[in-house]
Amino acid sequence: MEKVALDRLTLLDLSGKPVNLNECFHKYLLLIFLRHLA
Amino acid sequence: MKATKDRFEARGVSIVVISFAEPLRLAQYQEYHRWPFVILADPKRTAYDAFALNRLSWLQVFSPATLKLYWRLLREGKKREDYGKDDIYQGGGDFLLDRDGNLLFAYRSRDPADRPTAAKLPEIIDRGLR
Repeated sequence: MEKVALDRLTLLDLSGKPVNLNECFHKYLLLIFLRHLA
Repeated sequence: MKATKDRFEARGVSIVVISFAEPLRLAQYQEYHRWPFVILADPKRTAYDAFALNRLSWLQVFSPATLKLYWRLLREGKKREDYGKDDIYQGGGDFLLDRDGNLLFAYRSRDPADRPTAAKLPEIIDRGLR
């Protein structure tokens, strides 16, 4: 099974602060990657 | 949108939306749309790269399916909001992960109109969680 190192991703909240994706989990996490803002 | 969120939460699934837009532009977008999800910015596209979301070709971006989608949205009276210059060639996708980072489901869009519907995703997730 493919595995992703979530702690290596550099994601920011809307105020520009870094966010650890591990803190966003319930049991599973659905990531929706947007194409462009429309 | 709230009903969709509830369907996912009942399955123990949190939803995070990721955009390559800068946080400030994303904040303006969220101010207007008020999506009931966590929205995060990935301006360096590290997450897009980690999930192998490549740039689309011109033919993919302007595919008949994309043009059909935008034609339908225009007919429904939906206006395109102006959030500034954007990269229309970046591909998107949907991914389901467990806490260990295992990828349980992956969907990489072939064009901007290609994505599982909100109704289909819970079914797909149920299959993935079995």
